[in-house]
Amino acid sequence: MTTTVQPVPHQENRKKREKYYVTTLKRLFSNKLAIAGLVIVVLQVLMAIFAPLITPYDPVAQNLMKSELPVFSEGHWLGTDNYGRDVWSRIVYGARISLVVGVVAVSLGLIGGVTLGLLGGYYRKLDSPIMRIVDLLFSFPGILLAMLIIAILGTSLINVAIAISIWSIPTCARIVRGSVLSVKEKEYIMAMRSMGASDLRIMVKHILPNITAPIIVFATMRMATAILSTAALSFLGLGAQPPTPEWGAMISQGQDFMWSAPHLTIVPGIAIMLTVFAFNVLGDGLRDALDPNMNID
Amino acid sequence: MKKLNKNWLVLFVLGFVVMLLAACGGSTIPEEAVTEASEEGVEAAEDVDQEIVYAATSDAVGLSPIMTNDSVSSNAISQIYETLFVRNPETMEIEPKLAESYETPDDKTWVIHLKEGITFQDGTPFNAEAVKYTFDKLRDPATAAPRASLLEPVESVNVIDENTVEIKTKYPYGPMLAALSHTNASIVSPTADQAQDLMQQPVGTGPFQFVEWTQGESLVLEDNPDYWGGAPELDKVTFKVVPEISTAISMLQTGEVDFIDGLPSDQIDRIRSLDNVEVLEKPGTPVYYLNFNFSKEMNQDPEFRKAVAAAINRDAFVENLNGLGVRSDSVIGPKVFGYTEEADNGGQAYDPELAKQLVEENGYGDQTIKMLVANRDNYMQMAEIAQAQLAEAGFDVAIETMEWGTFLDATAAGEYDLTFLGWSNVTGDGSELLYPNFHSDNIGASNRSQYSNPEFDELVNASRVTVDQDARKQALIEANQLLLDETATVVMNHGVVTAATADDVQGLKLDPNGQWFLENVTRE
Amino acid sequence: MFALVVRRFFQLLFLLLGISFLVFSSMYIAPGDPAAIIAGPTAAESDIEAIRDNLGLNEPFLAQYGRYLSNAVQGDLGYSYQTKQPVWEAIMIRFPNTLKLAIASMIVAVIIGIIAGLVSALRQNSLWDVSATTFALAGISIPNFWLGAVLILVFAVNLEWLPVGGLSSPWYTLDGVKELILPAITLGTASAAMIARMARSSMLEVIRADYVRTARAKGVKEGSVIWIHTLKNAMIPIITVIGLNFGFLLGGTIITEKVFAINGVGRLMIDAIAARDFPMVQGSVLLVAALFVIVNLAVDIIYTYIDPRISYD
Repeated sequence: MTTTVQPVPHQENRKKREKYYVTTLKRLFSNKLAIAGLVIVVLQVLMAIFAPLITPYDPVAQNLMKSELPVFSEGHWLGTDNYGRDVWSRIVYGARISLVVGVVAVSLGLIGGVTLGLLGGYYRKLDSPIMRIVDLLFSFPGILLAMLIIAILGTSLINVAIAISIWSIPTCARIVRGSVLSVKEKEYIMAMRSMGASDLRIMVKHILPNITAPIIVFATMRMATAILSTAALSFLGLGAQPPTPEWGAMISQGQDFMWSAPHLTIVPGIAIMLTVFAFNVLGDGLRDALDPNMNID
Repeated sequence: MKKLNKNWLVLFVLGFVVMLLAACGGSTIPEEAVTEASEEGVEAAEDVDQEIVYAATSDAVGLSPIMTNDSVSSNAISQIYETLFVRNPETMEIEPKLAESYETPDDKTWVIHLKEGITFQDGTPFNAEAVKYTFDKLRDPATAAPRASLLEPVESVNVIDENTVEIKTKYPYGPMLAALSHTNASIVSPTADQAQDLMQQPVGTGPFQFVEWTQGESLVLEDNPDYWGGAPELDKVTFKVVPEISTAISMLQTGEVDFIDGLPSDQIDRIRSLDNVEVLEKPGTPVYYLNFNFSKEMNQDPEFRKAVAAAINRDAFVENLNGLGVRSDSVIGPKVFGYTEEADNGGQAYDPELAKQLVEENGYGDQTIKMLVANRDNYMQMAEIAQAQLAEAGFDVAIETMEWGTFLDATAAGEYDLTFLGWSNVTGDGSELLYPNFHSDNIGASNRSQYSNPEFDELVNASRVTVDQDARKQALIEANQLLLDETATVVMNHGVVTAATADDVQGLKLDPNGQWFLENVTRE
Repeated sequence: MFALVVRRFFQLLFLLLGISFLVFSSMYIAPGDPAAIIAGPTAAESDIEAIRDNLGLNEPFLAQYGRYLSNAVQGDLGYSYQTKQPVWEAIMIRFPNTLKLAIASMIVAVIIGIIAGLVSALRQNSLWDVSATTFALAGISIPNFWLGAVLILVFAVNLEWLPVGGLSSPWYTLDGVKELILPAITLGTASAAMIARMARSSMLEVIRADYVRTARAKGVKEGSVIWIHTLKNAMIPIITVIGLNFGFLLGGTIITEKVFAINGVGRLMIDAIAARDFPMVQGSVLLVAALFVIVNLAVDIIYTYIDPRISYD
């Protein structure tokens, strides 16, 4: 191996990667379901960003005189809840919460999972202890783990995000570790190692970019799980603080009115379903398009 | 097969009732008609299984009156055991139950004569020895009874003769009879307590005796044929655990259970609309209030408390309870000893303009107020409505919900600004409300507001150490008014105790404290 | 095989030790005093203190944990703080219900999942495929607490076909089966969806594989191609999902048991956490974790039978 070896595969790699991304996008856009998912996700992001502009009411403003209005009422096309709050406004602001909690939870989970996975996959010595810890986390039912964490930290959305992130660490760590193991033995990595490039540099600059595909797919799918889990924890009374318009909390509260005002459970239920559905099909589409089995180099 | 038969029977009964209703044209008359018809036809009543299934939102913790202090346990316990005295739910007077009569030779001595010829369900005779055994066990620190403090003023319990017991107190103790009518002061069989764990296998003198308990699932009782008051009509009582109240309501609708209680105001309209269900509602002893934390500087400012009280529209809140709340400013409610009508409007009235003005002038909106809320019962509803109204007046209030266990700790330690509390007041006595919640003796424990006012303490003490009931009442009225004058708390509502039964259930006795008795219940 | 079991057994012990420490310390750190909960809001401070002493809660952390551990090693999981009942007994009363529920929903999940997966793989891109795929995606996306409430509303309350909740009859009776249907669907739908997806993609892979083509070319009948070759090979990823989902199901029982008033371990667990009933939390978490590990061990062993190429030694 000569000193000239290093930059060459790197540059070539980059070109290949660009081309790879273009083909990926093309493939993604040929998948109708994935486009539907993407559209819903984009719409939701827009809704979250422009919430104040598209909602006619303050999502927490009560009007006890106008409580439990059905859908398509005048001025409230999705009706009002038991405190007379506008359901549409709450749904729109709820999109913000779901997205933010989802993104925070997934990012935290990725940081933990990717770190553990990289270390475990890269250093043979660390592999076994790290994987035992991962096993430990894995054998807890996720919701139970979250409940214990919330018991310690207290009920709030931030703590829910932390709890959910911890429960996505083991899966993420396993996926990353597997990918690292397969990339690690590639020639150019071996070459760089023999040339004395630092481990950190190799991991961050060379291994990580090569395992982005499975990470992106995992993150997208995990958004779906995170949103669902946030709702479940709020349902158990362990999540959003009232009057926060969190969807799961809305269902939980609306359940008491299932007979007199079914829209209070059905509307947020559909909102959760649509969002989770969107992230799932998008994740599916991305996986098919990226094809983690494909050799990027 | 047995279950199947029962289902058919229930269907048949339901069908029968529906037919009758239809025949009578669906006005309000048919209900009476049904009752009359079945009262006339005695044979008809005998065809129905004399059984009842009650849906409890949680399992009983245990079946020993000494070792438990939760509402489901006390509902089971009060069918199995009995107390020396009971408060008559209609007159609110205390009457003897296992006791025959009592006298107070001096203000620190209570001599209680017991009814004769009563035996426990295991055959042990009920006598002075059993009473002494029970009370000594309850008081013994080694027992670690949750409600040991109920008999804290007691110096000694002495057996005078077979049917007379004497209780000596450390100081004159006014609410003694109320304490003795508390479920936790139920008399247990000494032989049984020594032979077995009453938590699992209870033995009392009550109308129903224990059959079996599958924890978390169901508890079965049967009639006590030798009950001193005459064997009850019901042959079998089942407590079934149904944690979700909406599931319980559905089960009541489909006939899987016959009886539920503690109906939520959110769903009361649905329950009222069910054809085969009868709803019992009556004003009760519970009180729910907004609590200031007096260890926080802002809460010590009387103007601040006044602003909070003026900002909260309690009339609108009570309206939102769909009839399951009674509106009054008074801390001591209409069904509690020590109440006076004048206190109903004795506190700071709802006045949004005043509230806004006070907030503006004093800059109360500049700091975030932490409103701590337990995530159960009606507290979330109270918090959501109050938070919105306080925000309207210019306060900046952030709700923080907590699990019950953490909440108890955090409020006892004073880690909050505002919170909501409730007090079901099992004994129906105002002393039992004001002393634990507002007397400075209990700061750090049940006095979660850390309210401390020597003048108030004095009045509450007076209500506790006098045996003269009129003097007690006067002291309580004054203490109550003091709380209102100082806006030491803002009462949201007084409770309405509720139950809903299948419409063939007759004779259910519902106490103003929410407890109930099945002794006289029949199915028709 | 024997070596595998022995090794896993030691891993399990290590795991249980780790979990017990994790749970014990988190319950210890968590705010909330079990004694205050037992005493209730009406209690005086002296009442609470007496209960604390009685439960040994005033001892230092390591003394409490050490005592717990040494008892646990001798097979004594302690007594519930709340009910004073032996923890093992309390769990064993409820465990059959959870197991019934988990197995019933697994059956629902496998049947629906494999049929949907099979149909969509064999009739790729047909209307069948599209609807099965959509079902699968919708299944994963439905919050199960919501699904449970809707099912009760429709089938139990309005149509009165099935009971609202509870598991009171033996599972082999008609009533027992009826009681299990709604909770099993509620809990099993998400797993059914996952299995359907997994089944579809692995079936597609296998169908395209050379040996199936060869078998077809050889003139083996279509039916037996599917059943013998394809299904057998597609079983591996499906069994993986089942193994992983079993843990998911055990977690999911927490919500399902609450909605359907089922007296199971999941509900025992949330109640115990809320009441800070340390021994009960410990006992039930350890049981669930052990079960998860054992199920996955069983899955691994099944692998080696289905596919002799897989080895764990």
